[in-house]
Amino acid sequence: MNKIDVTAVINAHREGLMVASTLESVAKAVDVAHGQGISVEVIAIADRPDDVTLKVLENFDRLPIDIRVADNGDLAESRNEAVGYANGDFVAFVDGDDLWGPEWIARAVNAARKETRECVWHPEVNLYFSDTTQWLFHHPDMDSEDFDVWRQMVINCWTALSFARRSVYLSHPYVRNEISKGTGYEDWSWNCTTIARGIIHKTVPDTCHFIRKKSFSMVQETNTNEALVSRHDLYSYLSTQGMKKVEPVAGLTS
Amino acid sequence: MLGILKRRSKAPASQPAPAPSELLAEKANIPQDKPALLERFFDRYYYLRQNVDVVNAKIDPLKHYLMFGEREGRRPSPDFDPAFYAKRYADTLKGLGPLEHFALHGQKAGNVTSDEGFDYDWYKRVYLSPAATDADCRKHYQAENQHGLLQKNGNETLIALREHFIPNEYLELYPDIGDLDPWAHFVSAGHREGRHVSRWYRKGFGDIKRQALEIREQGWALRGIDIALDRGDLSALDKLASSGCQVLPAFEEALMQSLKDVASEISSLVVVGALGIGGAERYAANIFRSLAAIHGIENIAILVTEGGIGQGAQWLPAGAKVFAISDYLAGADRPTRARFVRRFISVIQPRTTYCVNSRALWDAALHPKNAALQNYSRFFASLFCYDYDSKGNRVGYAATEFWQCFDFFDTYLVDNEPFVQELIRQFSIPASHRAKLRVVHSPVAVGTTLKRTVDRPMRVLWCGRLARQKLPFVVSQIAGLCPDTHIDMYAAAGDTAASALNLPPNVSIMPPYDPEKGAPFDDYGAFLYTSLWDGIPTVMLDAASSGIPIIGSVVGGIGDVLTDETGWPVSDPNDPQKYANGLRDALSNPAEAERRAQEMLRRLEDHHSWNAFDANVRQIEHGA
Repeated sequence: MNKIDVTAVINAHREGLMVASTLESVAKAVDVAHGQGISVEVIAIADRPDDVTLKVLENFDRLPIDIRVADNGDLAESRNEAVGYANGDFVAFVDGDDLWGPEWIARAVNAARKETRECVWHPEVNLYFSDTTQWLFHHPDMDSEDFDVWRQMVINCWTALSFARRSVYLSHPYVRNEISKGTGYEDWSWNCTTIARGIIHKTVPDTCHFIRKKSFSMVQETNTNEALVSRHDLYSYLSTQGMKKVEPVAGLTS
Repeated sequence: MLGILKRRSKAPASQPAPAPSELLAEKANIPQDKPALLERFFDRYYYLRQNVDVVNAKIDPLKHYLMFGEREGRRPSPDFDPAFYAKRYADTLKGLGPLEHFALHGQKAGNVTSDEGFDYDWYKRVYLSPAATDADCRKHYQAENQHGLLQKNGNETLIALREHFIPNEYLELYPDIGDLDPWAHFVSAGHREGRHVSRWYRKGFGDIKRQALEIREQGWALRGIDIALDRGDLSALDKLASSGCQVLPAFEEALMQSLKDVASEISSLVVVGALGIGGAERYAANIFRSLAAIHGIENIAILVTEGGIGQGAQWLPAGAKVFAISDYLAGADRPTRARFVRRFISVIQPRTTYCVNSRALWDAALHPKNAALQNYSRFFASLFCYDYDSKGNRVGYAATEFWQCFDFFDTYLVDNEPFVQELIRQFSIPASHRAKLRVVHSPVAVGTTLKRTVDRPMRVLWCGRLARQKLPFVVSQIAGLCPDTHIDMYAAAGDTAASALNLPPNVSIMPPYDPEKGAPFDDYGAFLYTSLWDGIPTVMLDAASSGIPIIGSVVGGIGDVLTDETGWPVSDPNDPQKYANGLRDALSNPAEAERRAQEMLRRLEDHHSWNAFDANVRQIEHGA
């Protein structure tokens, strides 16, 4: 089996026809990556999908897609499960209703390969869009002078569409959401946990994602329920560090 | 207020001939060079316009100013406000009058001379330039404020934004502002409305232009694959709002600041509604002290959720970490405070959290998803007694919240046994769950000797609020039945006016006692306590530990300490005759009074010692 550089994970659930747009954007990003000699496998993990979603995934012929049907009922568990199937050195997540910018995979790989520290990568900016409105959501880079890691305690600085070495996701699995019980934000919790392990969250220059704002989404459900962020130990980590800037604890040789 | 009002001088009625400056100075005992010094800053016409009495007196305005107006604080010119100047430059006046100081030093130093609602520094930096004068500001305001857009003071962030403001781009972005001055519009309205200072500047969000161009380029590459994305206008990205953690909403900013201030691992958190000098606050302080002894003071914090950090902080040991929501979110409403508490606890994750009359934490406990909070801490709450409203309905946390979120708290710390039994009865608490209600008596320092030498043995001490709960009318009746005694009522304000009590001459209203010193038990022959409902009032415990004979109504938890063996309990709190009988018995029989007081001390030793309280908290902590 040839070496896989990147596993693209599409987290699908009941997006229906919308997942087609996501697949198209992934296909474009894979094309650009292939053009630069980067090998990509695509896994779609469909967690309790509806029929339309599954059929759109199965019928998409622009890419070979490894479709895995899961019964987790939880995005965090599905992310973890998909990482278990992944063969790439890196894993890149996209939710089944969002779109990657075409340059995402290629630029993320190039940035990650130049970095010697363990990092999680995010696009510089996101365009949130819906039928009626658009706005920008800017990701911070932990290396920037004005980044204040305490902000992550009170607001999630990065979306869930992250990119990192597979080993990062294996070592730090997502915590299951318990929205009915009042805890959630698996991505927020995961971002906190990884920072507390000394991993740096960085942005890839000149990259963007397109995030669909549906009339109802899980994030909205979490907000509506005033859910709390699943347990993490970032506060404990920062408290023992004092107020000094977080230093990475792990270094990579390549 | 009257004390700070100054009477204006009456100008002399006669009309002296205008005098040369030297003559004036001589007559008024004014330094010879002072009139000349001040004259160029003195506006005669303004002074006369403003001071009719000076006009009527036909006195030279400068002379009047030097003789009277200066020390009366009158303005020498529209540009100079002596009161403002004196306050602003109080440290440098060194005995000089404000105008004199300005003439000698202030002008050279560029001192500000008047307020008039202007923050001159701000105004100059926002609309003009730092080199502008105060007069320039006023002229600018008068000339340019025809649309009412100019502000005399405002947000500091606007100063920084000014350098990024590009008028033409603002006009292109927001043609709706018509022919209004673009910067004035931004300062007065656009800033609040979230409008941008220019096409590509968003404070804190980096190189927006580059990012937007990237979105435009990559968005175009995705053209045709998503109907909703296509509908968006990728050519108008400069108009979009920006969000991100770089700019926090006020709530998150406040929460973050509080977390930074704590910035240490907290084993246990005590959450109190207020930190005044009430019994509940003292109870909370005792829990804090016990927790500090168990875990180390650096690992304990106290969060005040409703009020500020008041006098109750004196009960906390030195070095206690005390935080108040009001210090971070002044004026926060009730839902916001509950949200703050939930978020605060979910981040700090104390192993144990104690709720002592915190409205916000009780609200969090009532939250439909309250179980989520239990992922982050184990919760305990204190209960003392019911309160009653004017219609006699039971109110307070025990009546309105306790039973609705019974399972949320692991254990309820109740400071008296009778109330535990009442709760069990009232709410039919099954035997299997009664262990959640734990009697943890308030600790009190117990003395060892009871030899009391009282100068005024027939004087009786009463402490409480002049409120329906504390039965001040009954005190009046008791005094009528005991004309040979004198009752001093150390009374805090309540819902009843002292004048309405129709007090007999053998009752005096005293100011509330100093809580730091405690009630003056040693000066009195007996302590009288009247109440319709209670837990175990702190003043009762303090009285008990002092050895003073106690005559009091047995309601709520008072029966825990006040019995026929330890004092003179009154079973019907509304019956003045029973109190009067007890008073007479206690005051006429010192030997019996001492015997009962000794028994009271033994009871306190057994149930209200610090060791007993501390052991209880330790057991709760170790079980947690």
